[in-house]
Amino acid sequence: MNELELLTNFRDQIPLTEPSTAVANAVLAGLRSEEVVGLDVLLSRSPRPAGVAGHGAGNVGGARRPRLATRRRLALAAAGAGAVLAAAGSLLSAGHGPRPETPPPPIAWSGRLTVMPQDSGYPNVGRARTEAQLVDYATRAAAATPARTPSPHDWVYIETEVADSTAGHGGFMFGAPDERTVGLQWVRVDWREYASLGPIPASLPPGTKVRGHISISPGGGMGTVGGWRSVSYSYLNSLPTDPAKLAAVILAANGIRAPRITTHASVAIFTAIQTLLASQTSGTWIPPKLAPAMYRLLQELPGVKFDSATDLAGRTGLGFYMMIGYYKQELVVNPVTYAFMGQETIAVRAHQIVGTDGTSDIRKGQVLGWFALLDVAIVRHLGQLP
Amino acid sequence: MREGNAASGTAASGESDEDDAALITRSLADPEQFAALFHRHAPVIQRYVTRRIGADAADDVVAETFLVAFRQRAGYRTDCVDAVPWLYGIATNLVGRHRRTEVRQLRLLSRSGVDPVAEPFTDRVDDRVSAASASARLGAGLARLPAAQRDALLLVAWGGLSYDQVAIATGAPLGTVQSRISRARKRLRRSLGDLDPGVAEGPGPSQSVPRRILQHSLSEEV
Repeated sequence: MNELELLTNFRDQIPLTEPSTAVANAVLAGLRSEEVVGLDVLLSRSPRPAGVAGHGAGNVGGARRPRLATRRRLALAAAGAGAVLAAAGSLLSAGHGPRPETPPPPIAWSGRLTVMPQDSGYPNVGRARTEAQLVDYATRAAAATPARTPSPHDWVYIETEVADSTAGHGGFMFGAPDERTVGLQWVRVDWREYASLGPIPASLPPGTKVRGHISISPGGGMGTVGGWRSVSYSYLNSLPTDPAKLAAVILAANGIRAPRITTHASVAIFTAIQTLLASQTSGTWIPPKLAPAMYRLLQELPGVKFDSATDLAGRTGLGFYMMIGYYKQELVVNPVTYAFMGQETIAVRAHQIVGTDGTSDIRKGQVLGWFALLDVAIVRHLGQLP
Repeated sequence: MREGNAASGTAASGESDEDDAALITRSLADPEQFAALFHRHAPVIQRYVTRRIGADAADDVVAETFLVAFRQRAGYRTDCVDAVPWLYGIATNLVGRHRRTEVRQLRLLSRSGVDPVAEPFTDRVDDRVSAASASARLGAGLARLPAAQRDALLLVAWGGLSYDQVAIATGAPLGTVQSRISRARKRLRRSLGDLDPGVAEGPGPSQSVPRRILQHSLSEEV
């Protein structure tokens, strides 16, 4: 099968359907008025998720993290830059009026790489050394952390380190993980705008000055994550924390009916939790009470084991892992902040993947995927660091 | 490659047997006649746009495609009986505003094997990884293409346009279109043929302390 045929198959994964009623009504209304009105007027926007306050309400910035002396602060190159950036941010975040015909200009950005102490997420109530302690400490820490709904126009700042292979990748690394890069992202809470900087080689020595441009792009609205009905903050915050009830919600979202947790159901639940935690690298903001609930569910899930682990960035943590067929999927959690740190997927035996375009041979011990979530936080403005 | 219901000059809904050029001409005097063009071609445009930038952003782009076409219909070349290439060209220009979304979704697919647009999730996770590997490699290859090459290639592969029609749709000379598609296909073949099962495993990553960005500065580009 050649590449054009593969492309056609790829396109055909999307069914051919009639456009939605909203699209049809917008177009027909435009024809009848004999003039084209701005789309923001004709098309109804996605309804605001229940419980999400309007712009300006809430006070999320810094609420989840204490302001420590060692934390980063925004250092502006010019006195007017902050006002310019804030003005640009408010224009983009207004959500009113017609969509700009041209994108905003890129914003020059520079900074130096340096070593930082571990960030603090929840208040620390102890260093967890077992999964039971992790669940206990995280639950108590979450209870002491007020749940503040982020404003739709706030931004989720994400810093990740990702392993890659010079042998290439296609859903998994084809060779040894011999490249590492760091990327910075800002995703608006309502996913309507997005910006990034990177990739930055993770091997750059401390003190290296990094320069780049942050370009703002339309975010396309809130997407979905496999295994979950929604990843909106309000939906995630409405989920039960009882492990059995949370498991039922996940299984229902995956169309699995099981009177008890079978191996198949256990894999589905583990995969859904892994997917949601990993989606923080794309801007999902998880409410404080949900992570400990997921850890508790993992602790009780058949087939899930616990061990110490080290993430891609070299940080030691607690690992929840599961053997799924030929590979081991491990999630690493910070024993002090109780935050998700990253994950690793590694083949535990040789395996052959037979695809429509050929066969892939996986070697025992091959690292298939590996990343570290270095930081994630809510910030008020694009380009801002926590 | 052209979809059956987008065949030139035929009516999908039975409303009219006129070709697209005739419909557009009639709509100059009677704007609501343009609706037949929408009903006729919206599904293929919807699928093309959805495949490129996802369902969430696709609705806006599809509606705007037809509204832009409506605005520009007075300048439509009536010797082109099939308006689909024209519509694909408008849609592709509008998709260009969502370039980062498109590349981000392709990269997500290439790294995780999960297609954020189609989201194939089978009951068996192992099958999911197997089924996704070809798409994931495609995603990686498409993400790496320069935008102009990707546009030209996908107009051929997904829109069924000829090279001449791609030239008209994109406003580029025919030779440029041929060159872009040739280069795009070569790059894509390289991505799909990346596998080297004989590569020896190298040492693991160094156990370094994480670095953070400090003392950054921002300024608007002049």
